[in-house]
Amino acid sequence: MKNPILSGSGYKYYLLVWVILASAHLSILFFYYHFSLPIAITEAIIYHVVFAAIVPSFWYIVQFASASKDGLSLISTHTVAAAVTIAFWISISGLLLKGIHKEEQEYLVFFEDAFIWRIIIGSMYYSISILIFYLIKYYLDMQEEASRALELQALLKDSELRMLKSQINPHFIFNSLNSISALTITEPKSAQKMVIKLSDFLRYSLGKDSIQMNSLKDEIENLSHYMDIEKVRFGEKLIFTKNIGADCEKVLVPNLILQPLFENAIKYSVYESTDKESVDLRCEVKNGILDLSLNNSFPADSFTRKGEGIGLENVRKRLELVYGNQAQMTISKTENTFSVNLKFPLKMKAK
Amino acid sequence: MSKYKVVVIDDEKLARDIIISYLSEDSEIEVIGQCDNGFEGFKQINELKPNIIFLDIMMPKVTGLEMLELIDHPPIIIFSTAYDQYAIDAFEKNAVDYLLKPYSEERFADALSKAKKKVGLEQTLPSSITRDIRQSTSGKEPLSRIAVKTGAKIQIIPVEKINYLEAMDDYVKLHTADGTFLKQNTMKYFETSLPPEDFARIHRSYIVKVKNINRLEQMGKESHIVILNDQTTLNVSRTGYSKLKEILGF
Repeated sequence: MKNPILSGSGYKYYLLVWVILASAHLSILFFYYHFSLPIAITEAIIYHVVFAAIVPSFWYIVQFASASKDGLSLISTHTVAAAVTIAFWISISGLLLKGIHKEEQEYLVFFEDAFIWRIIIGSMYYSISILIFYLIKYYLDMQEEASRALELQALLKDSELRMLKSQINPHFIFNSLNSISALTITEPKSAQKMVIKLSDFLRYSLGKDSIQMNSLKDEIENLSHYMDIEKVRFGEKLIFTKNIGADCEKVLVPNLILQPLFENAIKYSVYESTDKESVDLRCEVKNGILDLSLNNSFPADSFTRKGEGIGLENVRKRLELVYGNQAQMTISKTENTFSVNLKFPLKMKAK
Repeated sequence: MSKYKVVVIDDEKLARDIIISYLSEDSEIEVIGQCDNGFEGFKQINELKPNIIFLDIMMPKVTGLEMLELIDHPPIIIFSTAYDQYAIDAFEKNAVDYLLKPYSEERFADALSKAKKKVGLEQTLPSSITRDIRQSTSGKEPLSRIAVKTGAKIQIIPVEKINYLEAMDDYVKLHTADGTFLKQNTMKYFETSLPPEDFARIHRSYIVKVKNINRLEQMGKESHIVILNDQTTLNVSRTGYSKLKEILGF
């Protein structure tokens, strides 16, 4: 994030504040302590210019401190930063002023007496600057969050459209309808079951609001419909197994995030094979992270064709938008197995 | 009266079931075979010699279209597929009809009666109309694999494996690291269908994989040769030379 003082027009307000503070300082020295105007002016200017020059660097301290979530390290970071700042500020300003006014006995006495006050004022300045930076940072974070949400919405709209067009492969639908057409002649009961499964699958997949998180349980149920339909089409050839930890079910995941993984698995296993192929879903919660893997076998003699991985690339993009860098997707491939692993932070269903 | 012999090739059992069920209504038809992939389909067509086949396109390992390329005397073909984008290829292969899944019994009967009328008639050559359509529908994806015959079997060769292609009368000889294969097709076809960034027509008789070229040498005043990574030398024509110049940028 950019430094709010150094970028844009922030510096105008910033300078204005310091001019006001310096004027107050000058007035106190001149009217209350009755120092000469040159002394009052030099002291007010030197102290405030030096501090004003240091403050912009606090932005980086705030950035650094908010990266760690540990309270103790937060306090120690700021204590050290404050001490260093104040020591630096007092010694530099002191050196300059004592150099300029080395003849003014009265001022030098005041100078020694005011030491404790300078520490208090320095701490105050530090605290207030840091507080303001935190407020700015909070505001900028919120803005970024909002723009990310907007971008996510746009991407989802886009993917929704793509889903209608291609993600749910139209050939999948037509082939399923053809299977149903065949079943109506031989096994009307199974045909009816398949119509209902296909309807449930389409209703769930097409009828979703744009930004939505669903429980993993609902997502897997929908995918089970999908796999059931494919199983009717491919029979014994498709072996689908799943192993879902009970604590996974309530975890919220972006809607239909797993669909492309399944389509990919099916496409490169049973679609390309004359033998039995397996698809296996595993899911568990480990150290506060949802760890999900989809593995499929594929015939060793098949060739990867162009166009592989567009669906998976979309999944990666969506995860990045929803979770930032807190989600991870890993793809691994051996001679006859393909596996996609997803890890993302837990978000639970609010009850 | 002898019956029409039919083979049904589709990777989904239910899809075959419905075709066979429709066919069972017709007493002139005898289903003599069915199978779920192109390898088996190739075998059945050659051994059982059906009059009519029903053929799916997207099947594991060998597509219906790839399989057809290898059959010397193809029977009457009716395609049955969920994919509409292969219609042009299908008619180029002289398909009688192209059924889009799912289809009605009437639509099916219509296709079947058209097919029956064609049985026993001389096959016409691929019509020039489809070739014209093909040329107007540019932007076709480049070829990624080639189906070839080795004995009674089909083999699929990914184009990456080809080192160079050589003209051989009505055939093109594909030279790969695993040996050579003959494919009945024209050099022109391969020149236009192979990925243009990877392959170059360097001579009337040769198309070479650019990455496989080791060096280019001058032979005499006007002629050149390329030497491939495996030390094969090939002649380069004048147009071939300027094409290489363009691709390799020398």
